Amino acid sequence: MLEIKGLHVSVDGTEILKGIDLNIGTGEVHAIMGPNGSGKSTLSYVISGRDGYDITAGSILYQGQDLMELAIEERAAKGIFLGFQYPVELPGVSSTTFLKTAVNAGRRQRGEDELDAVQFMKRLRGHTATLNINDDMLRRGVNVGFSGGEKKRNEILQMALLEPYLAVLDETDSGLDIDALKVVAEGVNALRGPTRSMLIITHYQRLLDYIVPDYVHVLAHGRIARSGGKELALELEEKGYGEFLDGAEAA
Amino acid sequence: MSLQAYQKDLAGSLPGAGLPWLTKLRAVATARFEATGLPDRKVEDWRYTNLKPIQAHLFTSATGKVGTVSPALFANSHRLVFINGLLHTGATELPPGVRLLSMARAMTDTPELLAGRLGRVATGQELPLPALNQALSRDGYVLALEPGVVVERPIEVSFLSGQGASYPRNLILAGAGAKASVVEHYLGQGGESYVINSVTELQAAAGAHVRRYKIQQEAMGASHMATLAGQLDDDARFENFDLNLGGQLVRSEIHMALQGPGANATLNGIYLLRGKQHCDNAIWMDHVVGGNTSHQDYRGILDDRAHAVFQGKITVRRDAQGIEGHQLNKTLLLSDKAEIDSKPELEILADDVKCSHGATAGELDESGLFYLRSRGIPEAEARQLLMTAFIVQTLNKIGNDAVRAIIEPLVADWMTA
Repeated sequence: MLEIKGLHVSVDGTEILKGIDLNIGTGEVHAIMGPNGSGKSTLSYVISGRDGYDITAGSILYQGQDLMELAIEERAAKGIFLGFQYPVELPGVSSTTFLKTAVNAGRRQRGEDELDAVQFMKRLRGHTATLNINDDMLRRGVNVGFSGGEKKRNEILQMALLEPYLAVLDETDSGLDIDALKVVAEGVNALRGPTRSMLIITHYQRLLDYIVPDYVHVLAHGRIARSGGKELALELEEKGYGEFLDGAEAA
Repeated sequence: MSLQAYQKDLAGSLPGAGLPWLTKLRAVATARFEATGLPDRKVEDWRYTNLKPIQAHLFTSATGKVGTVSPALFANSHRLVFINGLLHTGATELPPGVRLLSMARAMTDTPELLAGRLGRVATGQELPLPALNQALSRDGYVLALEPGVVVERPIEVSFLSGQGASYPRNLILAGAGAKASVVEHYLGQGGESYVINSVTELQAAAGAHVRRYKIQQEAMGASHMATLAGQLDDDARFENFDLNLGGQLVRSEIHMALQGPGANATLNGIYLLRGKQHCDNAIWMDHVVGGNTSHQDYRGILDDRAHAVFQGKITVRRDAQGIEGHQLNKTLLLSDKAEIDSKPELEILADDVKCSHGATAGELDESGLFYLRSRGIPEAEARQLLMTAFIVQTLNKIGNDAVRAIIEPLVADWMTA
């Protein structure tokens, strides 16, 4: 699904990612853990195509295609979804309009028929109850006046509607209490499947109690310092990131 | 050529030339304009707008023909069409209690409707553009509503221009409790450098409810000067909306006097400019007595080297207690060469009032754009969503749904052009 090779990325001339190699197979759930400033969010932005992230070396292939050739919206239409750490507030853009526009924009780019209002609302209703999203949230501007938990649930709602092949979830657990975390994790787990891959980015192991990954990678100082199974997350929880910080500094 | 000389040549040919009161009105206006001439930028109210480009065009007649009459905006409106400032088509099938006719005709046939009313609001003040208009105007529309009359269909007045200088003079007289929506549609017909200097006067009696919309789509080389001057009596309500899309040099002035308690004036507008367009919205809101309210919400989007000006003054007279006056101006700059000069002003002489004003200018939110695109929405569509979001609150304040249905696609067209 996703093949990252020797990826170096700079922001404003400062190298953040210093040679990342990562393969995510179809249907696999990978977690990337790491201390603050290790480059986790940079990786998520470069996959989604945000401006200002310069790839100085290496490549990213998505479903065998060079991702760098595709604009942000083209990547999304081909099934890449980024769940934001800090979802953006869009005053004046109603949530329902936004969701329908996004769903139909992707369908149009893929050559599929657009959904009419009735078809769209039916799909929307299929997800709002389980994610505990009420009509008031749908009427408001996108993320405007939403609590931290509401914003994250809204991200998962978007993921559910857009049905991506690769979901990158950046610090989806940040700012959530345990009840909110469970709702979000259930939403994510409901979307797991043999054709959908996920990259879960998190600082804390806590989220991985609820979304259990197939593989765990530790990102430190712009490199993947260690990879392993789900038990690696528990080890990190116990020992912290000290080993990777020291090791990187020594190197 | 001076206005004095030009006006003297014209005088005999202007409609209503034999009426002493009208002749006097024109003479006073001529003298007033002669005393000041066009204002220059040393005058504070004109600091941001340079009228020099129109000077050479002021005394050119605009009697030529215009190719085709544009289709009506509304399927069911009462419509008048003016070409280069002169009546082309009159309105028919008016409901009882409604008079809607050309100013030239009113001056000739029913001068008693105008005497003591024409010029009362706009020309009594030291305003050079309305004075010039009063001196030279040949035509325009008169809308007179008997007390209690409700006009259901929109009244649509089309001003099609293509050359010379024209001076439409309009008068709205709303009797007590009368209700109507008027749309003034200014449309350029290809001419590059014509000038239009229009004046609309409004007198709304107690409890009248008037909505007036201006849709300005002059040719891109044109100069559009417009003044709206209104008086609202007790409990009268007036909603105005200015959509400015066209013209090279645009000045839109509003002078509003709230003369009775319970009156409300809501003045909103949207300006969408690109290229080197210049648009100056200048508003004077006068709370003459207490217990009335005013709201202003002007928003615009500027691209390229466009320049917008918003200057607005709310005056609260000494005994005008318990009034409410609000003013908001927001501008989105799509280019770093675009410019907005925003000058909100409050002059409050009473002590029990609720007033606010605010002005903001900003760029399109890059993180919002990325968020939308990351959901698969193409960049052009994402930009349009954010631009629409910026002005949607102002659009939603358009009280007449049929008018909003006309304006929304015009706004969308600008965004996708």
